[in-house]
Amino acid sequence: MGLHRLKLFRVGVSVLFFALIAFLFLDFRSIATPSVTEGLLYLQFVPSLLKFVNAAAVGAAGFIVIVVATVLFGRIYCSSVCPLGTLQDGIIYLARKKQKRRRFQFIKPHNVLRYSILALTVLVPIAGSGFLLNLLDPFSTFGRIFSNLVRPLVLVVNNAAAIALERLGVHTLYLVRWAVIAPLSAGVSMAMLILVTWLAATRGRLYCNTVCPVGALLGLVSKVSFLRIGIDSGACKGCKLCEGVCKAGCIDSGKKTVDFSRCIACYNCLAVCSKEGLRFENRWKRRVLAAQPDRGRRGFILNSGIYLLGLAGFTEQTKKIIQSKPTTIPVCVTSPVSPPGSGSVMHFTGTCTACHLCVSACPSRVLVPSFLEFGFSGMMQPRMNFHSGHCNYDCTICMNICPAGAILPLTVEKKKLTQIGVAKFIKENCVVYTDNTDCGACSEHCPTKAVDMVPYPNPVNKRLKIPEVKPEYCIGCGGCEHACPTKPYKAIYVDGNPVHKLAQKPVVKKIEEKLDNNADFPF
Amino acid sequence: MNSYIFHTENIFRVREGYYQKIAVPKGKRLNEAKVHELLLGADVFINVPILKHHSSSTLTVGMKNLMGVVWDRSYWHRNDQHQCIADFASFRKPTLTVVDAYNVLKQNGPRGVTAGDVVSMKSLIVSTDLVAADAAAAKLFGADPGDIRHIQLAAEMNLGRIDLDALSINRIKL
Repeated sequence: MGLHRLKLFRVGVSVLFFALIAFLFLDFRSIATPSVTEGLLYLQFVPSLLKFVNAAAVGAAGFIVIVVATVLFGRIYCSSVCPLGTLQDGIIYLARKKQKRRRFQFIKPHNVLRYSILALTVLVPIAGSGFLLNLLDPFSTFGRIFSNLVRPLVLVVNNAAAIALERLGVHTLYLVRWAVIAPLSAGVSMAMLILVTWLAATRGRLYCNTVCPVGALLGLVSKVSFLRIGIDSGACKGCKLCEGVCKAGCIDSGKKTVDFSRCIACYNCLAVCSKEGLRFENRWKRRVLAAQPDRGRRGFILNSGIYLLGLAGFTEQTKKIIQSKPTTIPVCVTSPVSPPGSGSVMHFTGTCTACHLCVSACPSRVLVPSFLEFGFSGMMQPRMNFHSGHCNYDCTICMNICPAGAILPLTVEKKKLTQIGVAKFIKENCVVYTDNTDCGACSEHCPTKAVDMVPYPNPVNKRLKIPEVKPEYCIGCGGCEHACPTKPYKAIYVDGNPVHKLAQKPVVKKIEEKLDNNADFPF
Repeated sequence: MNSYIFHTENIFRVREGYYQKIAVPKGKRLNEAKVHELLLGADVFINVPILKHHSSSTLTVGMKNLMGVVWDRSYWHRNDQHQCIADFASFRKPTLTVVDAYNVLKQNGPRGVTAGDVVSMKSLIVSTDLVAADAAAAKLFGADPGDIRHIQLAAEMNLGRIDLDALSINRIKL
């Protein structure tokens, strides 16, 4: 038995993880609940690590589970839990179907490259940028590919089908609003997809052993793992079948060695060997490798320390938003707006891995991948874009699904008082001022009546009302900015709070009016 | 016969393709609008607004409610919305207007901030004259219909009566 079936088990687990996680990013009918999402993403390494460190969420210990599992059994993460890994496996499967009998070969390890990328990914945050980590984190890369590229396709199919079925009188499907197109994020996602596809189709899981920082890190851990796959030189007949199916290219059948730091635990070799030439070896018993100092391991521990320090101590300074459109009355945005629950722009940009799960899940499409609003290193991290939508007053979806803890859960009541920014009114752009006509679209959408309409003395002596902002009640939801009809420049906009504040609870004087059944009609 | 009851919040077939461009010949600021095909195809048109305070239009009653059957509402906001509301009333007169004034949002409209904004008035206004229904509702609300600009404008455009004293009204108490 036994070892042969391990591959089948691994395939089952990986397909399940892949399908469920992919579904989270495509779930435009919002079927998955936040707790399901949280459970599914618990084991994703980088988001869990960031949540644990930055959000002090002790419960988010999924990455510790992965490290322990790797210490025991090697990189099972890479072939079971990691959705980008399974995506590559799918590509490899299809590519091998096309090129029949294509076999893998042992590849020399690209240690300098992979450990340099790991070190950079770990060190760059110290310089104040999580950009490299966000770019290379496999979960976030997968998320961006699905959110920016696959999801739009799914929406096209859904909407086309919905329109077609509607003509036939079937209303099972309904039209879904398009996602906002973010060219930078879509471009980066496409570039990563092309890179991953090309590497997978031609060189197996080379990406995981050269580019992926999680792969490199877990590779270092697996160097000291309890169990490792090794070749039993007595049983092995030297048929090279195992090397031919090794996607990681880590089996050297000539020398009868396995570079277990690059083994992604796919167990294809175990499945293909009929002579029981491959086996799990208990490394801790033999203590062969422990005699020499393990430089890689020292580096790992050192780097981890620096890394954690860097994450906890340094994050980027927010850069000023770049005003691209010419304005007669400049819209003076001093800070981009981070979503409610993120606490501050600093916490958000220091923790978010730009996986875009919140972008996919946001029902009002207000969360949009940023360009340079959060600065270079915050590229692609979602921001509140009030031109595309506004934050629903009662909604807490993003904060309940964020796997990295960049957006932390708030109760609905707390969320309704969390001031992520403040509305600023530019009277000179307002219809009431320019045209002397009523409008009030901003106040109409304001959930707290922080934007209220007050009498406006005007040159034409009409009974007009003009918006007035009471900043203490404003929560920065952007309803006013989104609804403001003036073009091309809005007359009211939200300026972000770099550190979120608490708004005052709206005080409403209760109307004291009793129904008097005996009263006369007023007309 | 096709008959549909319009209540703005309840139209679920919302997609621009369902809205067809129509002309508003009597409109002063609103000369054309995209109107939902359900309204265009209906033989009988019953308008059922609820009475509420509104920060943009002062009040929502019958005429304001019809803003819900057009596609580009922001055009109205940019282009003298009271005039646009009155203009659109000239496009098609509802067969019947039924103003639901049972629970009335008296302040902080149109969405309200707390339940304290709502007053139980347990009233209903039914009229074949859209403008008269709006004027009566304004009175019920505690406002002078002449102060609600779109009601005044609609009356000036002879789309209905604002002078309630001259009308025969059945006042029924239950």
